Amino acid sequence: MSVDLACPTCSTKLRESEKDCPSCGSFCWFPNVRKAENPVERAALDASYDIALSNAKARGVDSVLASYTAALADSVAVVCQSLDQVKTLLSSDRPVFISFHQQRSSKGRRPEDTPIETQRVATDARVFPFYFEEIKFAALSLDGKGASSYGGCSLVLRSVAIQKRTSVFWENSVDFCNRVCAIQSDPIPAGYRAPWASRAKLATAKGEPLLGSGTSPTEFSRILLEGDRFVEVHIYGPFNRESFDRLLLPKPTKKDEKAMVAAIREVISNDGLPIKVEEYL
Amino acid sequence: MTGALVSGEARVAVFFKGGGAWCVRADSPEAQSVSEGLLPHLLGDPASADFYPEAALETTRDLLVQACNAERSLQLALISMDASFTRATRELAEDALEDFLGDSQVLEFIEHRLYSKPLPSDTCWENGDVDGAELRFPKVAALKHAVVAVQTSIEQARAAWDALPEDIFQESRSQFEAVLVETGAFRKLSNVAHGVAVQPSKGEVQLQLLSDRRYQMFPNWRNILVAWTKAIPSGIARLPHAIQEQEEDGRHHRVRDKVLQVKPHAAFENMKLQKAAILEQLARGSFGQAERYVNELVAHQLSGQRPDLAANSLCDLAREAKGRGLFAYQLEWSRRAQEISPGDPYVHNQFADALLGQGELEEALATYESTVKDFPGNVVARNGQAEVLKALGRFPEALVMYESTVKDFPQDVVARNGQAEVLKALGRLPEALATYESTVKDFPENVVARNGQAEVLKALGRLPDALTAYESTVKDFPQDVVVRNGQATLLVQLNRYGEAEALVQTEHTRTRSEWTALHILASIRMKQGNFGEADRLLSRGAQSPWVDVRSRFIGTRALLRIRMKKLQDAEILIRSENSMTAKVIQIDIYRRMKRIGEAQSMLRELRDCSVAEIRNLTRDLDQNMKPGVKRTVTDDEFLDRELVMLMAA
Repeated sequence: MSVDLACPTCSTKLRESEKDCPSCGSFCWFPNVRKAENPVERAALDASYDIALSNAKARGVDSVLASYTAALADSVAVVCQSLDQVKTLLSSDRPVFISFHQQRSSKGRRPEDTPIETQRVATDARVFPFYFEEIKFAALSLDGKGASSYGGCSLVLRSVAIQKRTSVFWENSVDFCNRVCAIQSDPIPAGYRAPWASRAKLATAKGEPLLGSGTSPTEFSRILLEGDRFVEVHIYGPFNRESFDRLLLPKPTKKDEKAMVAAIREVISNDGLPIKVEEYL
Repeated sequence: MTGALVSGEARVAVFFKGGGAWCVRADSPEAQSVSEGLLPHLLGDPASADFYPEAALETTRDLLVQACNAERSLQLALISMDASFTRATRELAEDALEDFLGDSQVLEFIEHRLYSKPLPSDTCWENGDVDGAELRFPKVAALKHAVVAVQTSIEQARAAWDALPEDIFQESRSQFEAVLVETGAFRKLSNVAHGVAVQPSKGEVQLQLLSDRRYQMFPNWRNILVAWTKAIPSGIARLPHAIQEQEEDGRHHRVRDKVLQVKPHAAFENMKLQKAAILEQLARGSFGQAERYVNELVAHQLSGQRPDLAANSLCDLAREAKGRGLFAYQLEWSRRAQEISPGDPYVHNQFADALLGQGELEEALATYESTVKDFPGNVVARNGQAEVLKALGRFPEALVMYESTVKDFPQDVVARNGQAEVLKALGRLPEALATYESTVKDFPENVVARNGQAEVLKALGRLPDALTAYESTVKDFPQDVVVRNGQATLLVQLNRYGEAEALVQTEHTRTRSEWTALHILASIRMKQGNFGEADRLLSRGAQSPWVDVRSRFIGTRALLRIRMKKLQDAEILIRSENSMTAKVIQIDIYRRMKRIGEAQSMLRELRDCSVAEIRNLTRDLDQNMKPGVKRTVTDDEFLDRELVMLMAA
């Protein structure tokens, strides 16, 4: 079910993937967010949310659900990376780094040479038609820790850096498509995505069945994100080292890890980056 | 598809096999199955990952550890040189880096990158910021000195590259540059510009780059490399040296542009020791170090006006490299030898042999032919030419060559064995046996002749005689792996697996014979019905550096799939192989799949084959695929015969 899109300035019809009007060049908003704000998507999500509320009430967990929803209002987007990837990202402005680290070769490997690329393209083309190359991924989190399968260090994105250009999705989009609409030509059902501002509504609708009368707020983080089960965050456009405000990483134990963490702390401090480093055991 | 994507930066590897994917992490011993959803996100930037199509699950972890160590070391080196870090953090980094630099592959990885561009201004290294840490971290100190010493030359190599016009790249500039950096091309050219005598000459480096296939995927690669290398000045030759510390007033100083003093004849006098040291480095896999030693040895011999000695040294080392399956070094060193001493037939032969090892058969044949033309009395060249003809499947011509050589050099045991071997391949078994017998009579200590004799007896079906011949040869040459493999193959045919297994137990897979032993062991497991273990061993064999040995492993894997009733998998495995034995197996697969048209088409490709064993098998396959004709050979018998063919290949 598509809705006609038009440029608010000159009324030229827009394609779903277009951020700027091809006629007058006006900025017409981020296509992933526009898609999530589509009335059809909103209505479907509202319906799921209402069902979650009534189910919670019927099960006597409506107060727990209300607490969970309130907590979700402060949820953050987290990118997980290895220590080396974090160091690479944060060092991206350093002259020695630019000279000796940034350039990589793919050894002539073509994108279609590995299943990784083909899988990514197949799904992303459905979820973000014609603009999938612009989308960056993160996970929604309450405690700042992301999906550890993606890397041991969690970088929390500043809300101000992403809130306008970000949407959220029910789960990992590839797994969702394989599970719910495996046929490539089938449309993705409505109600499984939301703009950043409505992330609490989507996560509430998703998490309600996991809440019980004895669920305490300390368990909310695990209910939102555990292993590979999480709400996927889609960010339009790039982010850089200025886009983060927290870095959570395991306490280093080996010599090389200690050196890396010390260097990361100094880069943050020397370059005046607004990132708070938190080590955990 | 099978293979592994390995990222040291993400500290993750993904192994693919069939439709499945498994994730291997640096900090976890167990490989885990990966969901399709996780897969696209695991590696971060896919360009930072290397793809290894030959990797098996069990080798993926080793590749990952190596990649992680290399990436972490580069990060630590960059911390070490970055003046914006505190001294405490830089020392912490150098302390950790010192441990990693013991690994020559890690050192090479870092050097390739650090030689690609001049150090930015105000780095600690460039400013000679050294202190007590240098004494505590000598490997890091050596790296610093080495990089700083060639800065001017790095600038020249970089400037020459940057000056190349954009239009010759056809939009591939950054990718081409990245490959050149990773493969050490900048480092080689910087050393040329620096004029380090221990390094190859400019001409040699040009040749190396132009013959490196990794560059040949880029458009206009030849013109780009020629333009780049032409612009690099040849440096002033210097005395060979190791990195040395220069002390003045108690402080260490940079050694850039200084000629270091060494004892001029020390290395020459210790030539044997140097060769032994090079071989030791090769055995350890310390290739960078081995290359440095080789360059040092050659430079000394050239400086003593003895190009013949230098060429001989290179040829000796090339032969050793061949024995270890290091064909790229065999080719590189024999090519250098030929450039140094172009008129020496011994050098020509080594070069041709290296080409043969690289599978460059036509070029090898041309080299041998030209040597024979120039030096008709050179028996090595004549045998080499026959050997290449044999490798090309031109057996009748090979036989003529061997016969004429035996006629001219009746005491040349290599020619006599070669003649017998070709006779055997042509199915002229009685003549082959007679030739081997006469050779054994004249040269009773020649293990090749005795092994060949046993092989022919086996081919004649005189299995008890063959076994006796093997046993007696193994007794006289207990360390000869080729003979032990031959006897083991026969014992497998006789279903005496325990005895066969005892003969092929080896901890290493370094030499060709050791790889063959591994193949026999895998075949035993397959015959015993232990398909899982057989597949594991065969998968390992796919990493053999010898193309024909590797093909044997792949062929046997296909047979294993046939035995497991997975004909489709077997067909996928074998179709990329081009050997005659592979084609025989492919015909059998098509026959079993009832794809008779394709089988017949493949049979036509082999109709001119003169190898008796293949002729017999294809004849029987042809007869047994015709509709309505009574079967003369069972499916199991075909499988057994194909396995014997592969073991004897």
